[in-house]
Amino acid sequence: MVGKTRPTPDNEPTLIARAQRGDLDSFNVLIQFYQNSAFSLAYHILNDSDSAADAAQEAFINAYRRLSSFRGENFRAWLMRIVANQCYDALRRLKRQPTLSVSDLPDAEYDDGPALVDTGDTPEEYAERRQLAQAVQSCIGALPEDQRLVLVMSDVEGLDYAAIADSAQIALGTVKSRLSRARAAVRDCLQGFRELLPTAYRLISDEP
Amino acid sequence: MNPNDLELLSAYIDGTLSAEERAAVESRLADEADLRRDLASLQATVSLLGAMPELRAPRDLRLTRAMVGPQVQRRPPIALFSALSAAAAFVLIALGVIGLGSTTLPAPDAAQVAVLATNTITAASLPQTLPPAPTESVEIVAESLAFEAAPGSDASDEASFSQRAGETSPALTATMMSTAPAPIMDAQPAAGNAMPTQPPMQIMQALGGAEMQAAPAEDVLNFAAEAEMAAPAAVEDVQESGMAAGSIVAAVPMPQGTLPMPTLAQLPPFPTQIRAEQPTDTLTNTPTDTATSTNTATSEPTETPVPTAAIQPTPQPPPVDSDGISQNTGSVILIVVGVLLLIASVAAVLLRRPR
Repeated sequence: MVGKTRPTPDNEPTLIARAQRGDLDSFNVLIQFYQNSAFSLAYHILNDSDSAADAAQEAFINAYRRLSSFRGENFRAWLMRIVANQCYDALRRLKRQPTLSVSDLPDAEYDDGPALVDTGDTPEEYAERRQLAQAVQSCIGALPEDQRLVLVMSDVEGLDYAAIADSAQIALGTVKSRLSRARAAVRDCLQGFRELLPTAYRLISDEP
Repeated sequence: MNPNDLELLSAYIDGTLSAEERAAVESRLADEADLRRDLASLQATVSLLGAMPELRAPRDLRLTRAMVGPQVQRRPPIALFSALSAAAAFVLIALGVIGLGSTTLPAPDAAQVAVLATNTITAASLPQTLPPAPTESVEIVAESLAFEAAPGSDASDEASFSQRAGETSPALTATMMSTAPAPIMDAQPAAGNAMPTQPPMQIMQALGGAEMQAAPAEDVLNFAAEAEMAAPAAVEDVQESGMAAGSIVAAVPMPQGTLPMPTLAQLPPFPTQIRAEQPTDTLTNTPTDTATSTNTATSEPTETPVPTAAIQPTPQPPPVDSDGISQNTGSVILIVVGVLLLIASVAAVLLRRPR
């Protein structure tokens, strides 16, 4: 579980208040700010760009309709929980189609995948970051869905155990055990990508 | 590594171990190189996951109006509070009036009591499932409650309102039937004036029930408990408070053996009346996010003179004993609390208005 400080849009409380009174334009300003995060979370869980975009947008629609239930806590966390729930539903729908598994979907391939948000890299730096991101994502995608959901929500998105337990409708103990197993699985999977891993990572993990 | 150690290290990374557990792990880490290595690799993995770059959404995910449906007038919680407290306020005021009137009431005769008692037992034993005969009346009640909701309210309000009306009316009718005979049985038997007093009580209950359409079931049960403490309402007191006594008179020839369900004709005028005399002009004029049943006040003013013209005088009953004094005090308190609650709900609505 990582504690992160992330930026919020200017005037977020005002935008939220207006959106709660039915101002869709204000809500769309919020969407513009959060859509990459929402898509990222969905993509990490679903491992497919189109599914992730659909899930993120469905989540926004749900969030807009349920705005009256937002009580001034962390809007990002509230929104991401709705995204995770939407992805959880999408995973269950996928499960009911036995011929199709998540790993069969397009974009599970190594070099296809969504672009990164531009952070002013040089092209080489960008390519390196993207390659690493795809390697980690393939390890995440190889996880069983139950573990994947918990790992992404906790370690990628930074939600706490209680929020995950509540969202996925599982016990706190289940969250902890799934999380620990998922972390070990990703760690083992990453050994196959050693050359891509940051030097610091390799050094740390080799430390006796 | 074994699953227990795995979970231990995972929790250690997240800082969710107790002080003792943490000390135990650190002691082991000092001694066990494998454990140290595992911790390091797990910690690095968690950090890497947390540093995942943000991905770019492949398309614009902003919403159109078509995606979310037409603009819905949002019903903020404060308006619900206003509606509920207004409804509760009217209930309390009505109870207070009933209580005040209880000191000057005649009592019904035993026959009426017996009939209503058997009806009560039937109704009370089936709180949620009413027999077919009252079901039909329940639908009428629900329709009338929904009818009151219809004018001036938007689609979502009406739907939820009707739903609440539909949900609560079986409870209301069961309560109405169960509470109506109880006070009658408590009163001393007297000859001759039995008939007029029961229907008014039922009407009062029903009309009080109409106020409660937005109120939770607990309020209905409290209302029943309160009503059981009071004796049946006097017809004169009902008239004096300006209620639709004509509907009460119309209900007088209540056939025995049928459940004492008020008919559609009796229900709507009362809320009109009771609202007309309350200081709630602002409440009726505010937008749809307040108790929608108040809209009937402005739309049915013409009904009020007709019922009052049909009022028939009833003989003055003998005064009761000193229990009436404490009852009066309680009733006054009820009225005061009801008025305060009304003021609070009006204030809540008014304070919401500036957008």
